Parts: sequence; structure tokens; C-alpha cells
Amino acid sequence: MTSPSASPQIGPWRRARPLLGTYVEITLDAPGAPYPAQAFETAFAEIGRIHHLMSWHAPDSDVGRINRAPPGHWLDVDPCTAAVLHTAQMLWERSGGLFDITCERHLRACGLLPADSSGWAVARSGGMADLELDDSARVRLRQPLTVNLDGIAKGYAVDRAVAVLQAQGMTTGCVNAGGDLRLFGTEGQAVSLRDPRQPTRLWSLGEYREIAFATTGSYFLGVAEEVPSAVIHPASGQAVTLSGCITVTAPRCMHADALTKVAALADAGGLNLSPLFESLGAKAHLFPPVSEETPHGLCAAHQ
Amino acid sequence: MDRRTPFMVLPLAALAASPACYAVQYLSVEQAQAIMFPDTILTAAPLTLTDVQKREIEQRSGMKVRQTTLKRWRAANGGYFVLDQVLGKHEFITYAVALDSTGAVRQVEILDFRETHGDEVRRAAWRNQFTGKTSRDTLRINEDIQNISGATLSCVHITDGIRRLLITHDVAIR
Repeated sequence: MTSPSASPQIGPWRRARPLLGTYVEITLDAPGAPYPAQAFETAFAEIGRIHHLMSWHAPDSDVGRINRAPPGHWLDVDPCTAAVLHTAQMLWERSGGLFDITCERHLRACGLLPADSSGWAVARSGGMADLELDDSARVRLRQPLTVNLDGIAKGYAVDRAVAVLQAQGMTTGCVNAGGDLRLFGTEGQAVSLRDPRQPTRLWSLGEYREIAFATTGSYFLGVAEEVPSAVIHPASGQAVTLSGCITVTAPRCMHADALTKVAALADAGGLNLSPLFESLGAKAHLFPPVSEETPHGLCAAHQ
Repeated sequence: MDRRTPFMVLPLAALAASPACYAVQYLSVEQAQAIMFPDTILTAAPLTLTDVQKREIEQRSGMKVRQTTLKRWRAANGGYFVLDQVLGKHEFITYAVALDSTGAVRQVEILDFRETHGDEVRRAAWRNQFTGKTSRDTLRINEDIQNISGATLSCVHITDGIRRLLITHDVAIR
């Protein structure tokens, strides 16, 4: 059963825990160093903390408190929650509203989130324009609304874990939260992409360093088959149909995670999103390639 | 596709497709015990459920109890190390739960993760656990692949498994 790489004596070391609603895997390599037990512990603890802050289900999380807050009152949130909200607001403004953390009622309507039996969330119909943020990690609602950070928090948690690992002196590794991953360190690391048409097929993408990958597609939804993907258009409330998957690379996993949704919705609107992607160092790719005859490359979305 | 708004694009080349199942062992049982209960003596305390207990657990958890013997170790400080397996549509996972002396979950570690896409693979993986074999005997497993990007796989099966274990623990220690 034991493969050499699984031995705590010799790296690279890998650990995994169920967090953020998925399986989070951390890989660390420090040749000659002892087993980095403390680094693993601290990184998983940080991911757990982000999970608790931004959980939609927990009423006492920052998200739970925002979603129950009366309008007109400043609410203190953790600086990490504030950072994600600021990014979400920036992405909303610069994507012409395509990235929208206040459209979760549509996820419920599609069965991607539990039904709102109390009717509480339906009544909180405010949008992003009703979300006010200041520079002191405070939130104020102009109208009652609900936010859902599932489209961005996973990537942010990966970034936080990488920061924690680097602060612990870890020089090379990868944090992978269920397919949204970030590599750090100067050593090249192999990255694969799961084929959305055939989940047992993995495409080798080569070696990379200092980069994040996030992918959105229709596989693994586990809900009614008529829901084509977990990406919802904020205006129509309809789930978009993805024939394959969209992978976004960026220096930060939070940006890669959030921009997969923007890329998936980009057919609509005719907005030029290149300045947004460029300013964040992000690139979008469609898989499989448009032409089935040339399945050798991860082709650009617009080819 | 021509109408799609142009993005910055990177000429990533997918080098090769690997028609293999992803499998990784993160920790052996001994390694997990040492990590979850450092400097603590663990004593094997397997638990065999009676038919009555099995029925109560199934009723309370809403889940089928597939294994009537629970692999469990008792720690000198009153905690427990419990080993369990869950089989999802896409994954077959061995995991360990550390319970504190009050029966609350202190830590969860995944020991072994195997992909099990498709009914045939899933049945083989489940059958082989009882014979002491691994699914490696019937499937081509690639242990070298890591850092896979793809849409998120939900951890609902482990969440359900932990809930079933807690109910089992509650039923058993009464």
C-alpha cells in the first residue's frame, strides 16, 4: 500500500482534509528537511478559519451575519472577509455585473443550494449596488440582501494557505482545493487537467511555477441533470451550458477562481474583458479545443 | 465561438491524455495515528455492532451501515481514533477521525483517495476492500499524477460518513 512518496521521512509530502465543501490537498517539498507537521497544521487551520468565516450555511459566520443584517447599520467583519468582498465588488464593477455574489437566489432555484423554506432570503432581494464597504473591514447594506462567496472564497483560502506555508519557511508546494490550485516555489511542478467529457482521462499540461489554476465545468455537479453547470447568469438566473470546461490561470487563486465564472458568461454582453484579465495577469482557456480534430492543445476561448 | 469576447490567452499545450484513475495514499494508519494522537498510547478497541445497534444507527443517520465492525482505537486521554471508508460516485476514500474525550470531532485526515468513476470501477473497489486487495489489482492506477485542476468534487460522502460515525459512537458507548 505504501508508496515511497507517502512516507513522512522523504518528501514531497502530501496531506488532504475535507474542507471548503471539497477535498483540500497540500503538497510540500523541502529536500533534506524534517517532516513539516507544523506547516501542514497551520495551513489547514487557516483554510478551516476561512471556511468558517465565509460559510453560507453557518448563521454565525461573517456571511451568515451579513445575510441576516438589517440595512443601514455598519457590521464588523474579519479583514479576510472584507478583502474578499472588496475583490468581489471590484470584479462586479469591471465585469459589467457578470461576477455577482448576490445572485445566490438563482442557485437555490436550480437546486444548487438548499431551498429557502423560510422565505427569508427571497425577501432580501438587494443587489451588489446595495453592498457598502469601508476601509475598516465594515459592511453596510443599503437594502436587505444575501451574499454567497462560494465562487471566490475557495480560491482565496488557497491563497491564504500559500501565504501561511511561505511564512512557515516552506519553499515549494501546491495547495489544491478540489481542482482550484496554486503552485508556489521556484521548482517546476506538473499540472494536469481533468477531461470534462471523460473524468477518468487526465490531460498533462506540463510543468509550471508560481501560478494558480481554476476550472469550471459541468462535471461532478451531483444534482439534477437538467442543470447544465454551476455558473448562473446574474441577469437571467439561468445556468449557462458549458460543453467542456473553462480554465483560468492567474498569479492569485482568488482571481482565477472568480474569473472562471466571468469567462463562462462572457459570450453574453459583448463587453471587452481583456483589460480586466490583463490587469490581474489572468488568462482563460476553453477545453476541449473548438475543433475535435485537433485535441492536442488547450485552445484559446476565442479561436 | 467567434462571438466570444477575446481574453488574454496562453498557448498551453496539453501534452498527453492519461486514461488512468487517480489514486494517492496520504498517510498509513500508523502515520495518521502518530499525527492525530502524538505521544499518546492508542489501544485497539474494535467495535462490533449488534443488529439492534445497526438498525438504530441506520434509522438515526438515514444511511446504510455497510460494515458492522468499526475499526477503532482508544487513547489514554479518553479520545478515540476511528478508521472508516466511504464510497461515492467518483471516489473511494479511507479516512480517520480523532474524537476527543467528549466524543466531539477534533480532527479529520484523509488516508487514501481513489477515483472510482463508473459502476464497474466502483463495484470492484468496494468488493476488493473485503478481500484485502486494493483496486489496483484490477485497475490501472496512476500514482504519479498530482496537481489536477478540474471542477470541484463535493466532499458530501465524508461529511455523511462522519455523521454516521458520530451516531455510531453515541450508540455504542451508551
